[in-house]
Amino acid sequence: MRKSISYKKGDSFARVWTLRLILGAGASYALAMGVLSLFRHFGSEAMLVVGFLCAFALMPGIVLVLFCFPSQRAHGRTTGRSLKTLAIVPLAAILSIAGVQ
Amino acid sequence: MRDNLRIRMGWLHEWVGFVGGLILVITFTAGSLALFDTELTRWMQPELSRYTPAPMTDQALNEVGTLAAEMRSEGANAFITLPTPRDPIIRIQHFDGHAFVGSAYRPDTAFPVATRQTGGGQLFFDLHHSLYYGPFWGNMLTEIAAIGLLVAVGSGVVIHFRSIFTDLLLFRPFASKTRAFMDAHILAGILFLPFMVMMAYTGAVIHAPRLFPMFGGNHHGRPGHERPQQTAHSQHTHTPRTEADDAPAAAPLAPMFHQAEDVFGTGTIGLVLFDHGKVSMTKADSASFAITRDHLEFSETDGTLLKTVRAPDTLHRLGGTLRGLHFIRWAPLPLRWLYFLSGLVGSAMMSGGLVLFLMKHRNQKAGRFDFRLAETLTIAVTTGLPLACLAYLWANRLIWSDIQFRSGIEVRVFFGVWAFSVAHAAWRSFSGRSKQGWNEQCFLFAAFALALLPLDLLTRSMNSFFNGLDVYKAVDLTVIGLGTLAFLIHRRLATP
Repeated sequence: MRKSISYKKGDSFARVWTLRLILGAGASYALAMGVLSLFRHFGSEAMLVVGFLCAFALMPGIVLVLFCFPSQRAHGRTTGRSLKTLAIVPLAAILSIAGVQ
Repeated sequence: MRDNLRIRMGWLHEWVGFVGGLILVITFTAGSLALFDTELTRWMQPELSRYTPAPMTDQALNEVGTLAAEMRSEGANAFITLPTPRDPIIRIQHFDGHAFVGSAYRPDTAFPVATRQTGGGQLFFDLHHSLYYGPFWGNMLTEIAAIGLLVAVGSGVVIHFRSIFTDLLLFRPFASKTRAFMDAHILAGILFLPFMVMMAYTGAVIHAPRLFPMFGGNHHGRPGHERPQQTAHSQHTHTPRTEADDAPAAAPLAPMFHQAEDVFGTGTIGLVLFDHGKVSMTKADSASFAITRDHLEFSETDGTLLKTVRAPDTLHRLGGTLRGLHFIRWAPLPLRWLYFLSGLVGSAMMSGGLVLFLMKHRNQKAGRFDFRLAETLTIAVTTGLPLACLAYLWANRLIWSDIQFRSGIEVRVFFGVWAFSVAHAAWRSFSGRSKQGWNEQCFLFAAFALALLPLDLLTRSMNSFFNGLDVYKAVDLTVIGLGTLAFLIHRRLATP
């Protein structure tokens, strides 16, 4: 059976959004670790609880912010490149942790 | 399909909500029950219904202290819980890997009360924070689900932001089933949004080191740099035992208890912990809003005061405040009931969300294996879990009270019935009669819930039956209420 354009488009969106969700989860975890490292480095062990509060506010926030960006450019292609750009975020976080430690 | 903010958020809400919801329904249902863990434990020890509360005497405390020391010398990691208004009895307990079990003693004479061995309400506590799956993976799963809940709440708010006030007034229970479920889901979601966000957030922060093991440590605002080892809801630790641990206590506990009360206030001491030749008179969790576990440490051999340990500053108290908000051990009964109802509404709201997910995908994917699996799991958590909880209560009263490994058998009945409900759900779902699966499980729950009161009356002493509302009648009436609700849902499902 032939699938409608709308159906195929829906499938492609779902793929992009799934990828975005997975990358978002990874990025938010890495960023949370970065935040916790900063709290431990510049504060004390006791400050970690504030770090955890910030991390758990940040993690869902990052995923939601990622889903605020449209997945389509003006001419209709899905933004694969922007997703690749997103992979830089965890890399930056890991580098920041390494720098702090 | 268009690509706009509402559709993207709708997709996120749908999928994160469904996958996380399967865990969160368990967490919220078990958490609601765990709020009354002490009361459920008392219900599950019907021998205590003959017991009339009496004030604790020094002699009784000393005698129980000697008994605890003897148990410790035999290798048990025993500690003492002192009488509280919720549980007016002295208990010597130890951690069995999942729950704190032990023996009960009269607080006036230290005479042992022969109670049946049961994990009681602590099963729900374990199920709530780690899905009975151990402190590492279980905790981590619930942590991830809590973040999923925050994402689902955030995306849900974005979806309904334009009509958030009209949705508050809109509930059409007799419209089409999809509409009715959607209205109920949105209404409960908006009304109980602060509660759910607070619980998910505080719950996630409390167990944060499970998700970030590299940042574990003294984060709970507990004083000192070590984690308490035999506290009421901490995990079992395998510290090497020393001779000092094994030696029976020479010093009586009563003078230490009074000294601790002088420091922290009358009626505030709830736990007596033993650790490496030291006795800790620890503040009860219910003594203050923040759970800080302040304590006085004494030498176990001569009873001299070694040190006073308090939360040193606001930062240390912050973790305790989060625990206080989440566990509300400090709260009076009405607030505890409010939390209980909010938890149940949260659980019902998420169950509604799972059903809506299935309704949305049924037309296109009804014949697919993954849809049937999703349906099976949904039935298992929405109706199978309450059925298993009820079976746990029934098993407690029907299994012989003196049988060996009794508490383990009760837990096996719980998981056995849950597994049966999964099998039943799979059978009904894969044969294309999922509605019947829901219906049958609802009916079964209603029947056994309505019969719990007669079971209770038949299996415990009736001496105190006309003494007003006690913990036994409260449990029976609550279960009857839930059973009636299940029967109404069954009637609604039965109508075409």
